[in-house]
Amino acid sequence: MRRMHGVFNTTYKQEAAIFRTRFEWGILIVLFLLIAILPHIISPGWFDFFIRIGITLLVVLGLNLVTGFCGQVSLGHAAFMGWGGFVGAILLNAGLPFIVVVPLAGLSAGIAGLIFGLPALRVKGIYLCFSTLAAHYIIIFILIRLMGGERGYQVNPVNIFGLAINSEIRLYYLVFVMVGLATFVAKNIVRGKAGQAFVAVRDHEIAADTLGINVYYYKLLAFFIGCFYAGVGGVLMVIYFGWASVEHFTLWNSIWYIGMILIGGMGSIIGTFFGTVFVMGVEQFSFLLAPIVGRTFPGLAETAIGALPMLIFGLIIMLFIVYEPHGLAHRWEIIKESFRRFPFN
Amino acid sequence: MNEALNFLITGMANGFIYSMIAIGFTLIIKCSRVFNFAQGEITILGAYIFYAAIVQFNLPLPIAILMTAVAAVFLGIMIERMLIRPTIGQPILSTVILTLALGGVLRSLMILIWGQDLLSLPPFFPKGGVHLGQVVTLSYPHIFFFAVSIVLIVLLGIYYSYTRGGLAMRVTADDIVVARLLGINVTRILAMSWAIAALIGGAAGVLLTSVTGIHYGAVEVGFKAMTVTLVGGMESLAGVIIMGPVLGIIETMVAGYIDPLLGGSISEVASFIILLIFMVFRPHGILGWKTIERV
Repeated sequence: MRRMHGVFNTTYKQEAAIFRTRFEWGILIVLFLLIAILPHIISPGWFDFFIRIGITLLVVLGLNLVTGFCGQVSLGHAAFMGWGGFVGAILLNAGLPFIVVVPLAGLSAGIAGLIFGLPALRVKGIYLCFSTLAAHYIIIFILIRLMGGERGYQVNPVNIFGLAINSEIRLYYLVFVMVGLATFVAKNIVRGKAGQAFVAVRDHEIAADTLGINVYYYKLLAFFIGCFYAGVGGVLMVIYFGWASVEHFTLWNSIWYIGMILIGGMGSIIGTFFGTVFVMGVEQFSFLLAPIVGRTFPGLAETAIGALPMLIFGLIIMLFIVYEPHGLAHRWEIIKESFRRFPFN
Repeated sequence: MNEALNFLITGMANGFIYSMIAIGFTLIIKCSRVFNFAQGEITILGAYIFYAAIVQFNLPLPIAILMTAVAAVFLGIMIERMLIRPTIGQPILSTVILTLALGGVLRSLMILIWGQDLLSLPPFFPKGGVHLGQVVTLSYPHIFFFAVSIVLIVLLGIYYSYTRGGLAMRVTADDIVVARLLGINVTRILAMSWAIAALIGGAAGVLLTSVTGIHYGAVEVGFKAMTVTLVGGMESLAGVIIMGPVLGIIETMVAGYIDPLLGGSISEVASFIILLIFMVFRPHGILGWKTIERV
């Protein structure tokens, strides 16, 4: 895992590497292989689950850049996602190719993020929660009133360089290629100048300002990048459902995304993955559990069963915040550390 | 003119409800710096408990009111003890998500127990109302709204300004360390602030749903009350009490005059637009504490 004590980086290349040891490369390759062969071993019913995990990963990566790294809470991320999705749907229906639509939709969501991120220049913490909460309601209102979100749009299947994305398996690969790209970009943003500035702004705004970091610029940049990710996720979401509707982008989704980065670990790229997979797994588990509960207690109404996932999920989030406040990424570090010191702990 | 005055009264009656819920936010913020996003859910849960007492268990009205009050206080204390106290010292976002998750849990509990149908309390008030002059009709529920909310707010004001307990609360709000040094049992004060907040929220819930009927979707009123809290100033009881009716009036006016013109339901987002404007230009609200950051 980690290098032994006393082994140091000797070249710039080693210093700058993301994957430093053979073990880490091994994990990466195993992960790639797993993602590549997964569609061939799971039953078709599970595609929905994995595709949604992929799309959620994209969005949550963006959210972690804004909230985890830059410290600017966004409670309206689902709305930004919806914005990107609607713009993407309109552009796709206008006949533009997928390759052009994705950056455009991301860009439009990013600009929306810039506008609604403006309060971040004045306020922070709890106040920013409220401004982004207000942003959520206003964006959804605009989508419903001005972009026909109530009825929604049908989105035709797209094709990339002549390859039609018409089956779930192709969409799965498309989503995970984009997740891979997004992770790579996010990791490099975080390692680079911008990421270091984000962390400085998060940790102490005034100190960062004193160090010559343009706090306003980096806050808005974080919002732009985070919302860009959300917009791209929104386009994929719309393509996956084949229908653009505000029902896919609720406030509760935004809360789940924040829950994911809290559970996974704020300000950690790997934590984003842990948190997303864990939370989506819990969600899936509670969806599977609900009918069983329904059979056990036949007195409960159908609608009551529908409330179970939210109940279970809420309880888990609360337990996590109370008992594991540093997130799964922290636990992962502890496990890695104990492996490294193996016989001596 | 006739219409406008009626809008004014309806808006003001709604606004007092917002004020009552917002007082719940403010009390908790002042003492423990936690913004309780589950306040809307607590409000509606109070209404459901009242419904259970009066319709399902068929209790007489005074006992039902007492039972609702006890349940609300118990709920507030339990939330403080089990969720908020262990998370003292964690970043603000944690408590935000914690209370949001709590809201989700409470909401799904409501759906589990009482279902998704609109339940209605038995009518307490006769139809009609008092006619003021020629044009304005003050219906009995509205009179009752005004009376109960004003009485509760005044009682709270008296408690807050003239009793030992209120003094201890004010000290705790000012400076927790000083409060400790003075021998005030700070943990008890925190629990008490949650209990009072839940109590007032429950009362507001019963008042609100006595007219509209009880439905879990009504928790949205919590978000409206958030706007009131923020615009009024998070730490200011006076600001919150003034701002509730003002926002209520603005909302009904927008719903009455601007919605028909634009053909949209701008009234639903009006409060959020106001909130956003305030966040940009005057983040601490009308009467809130302007915080100056020191390094």
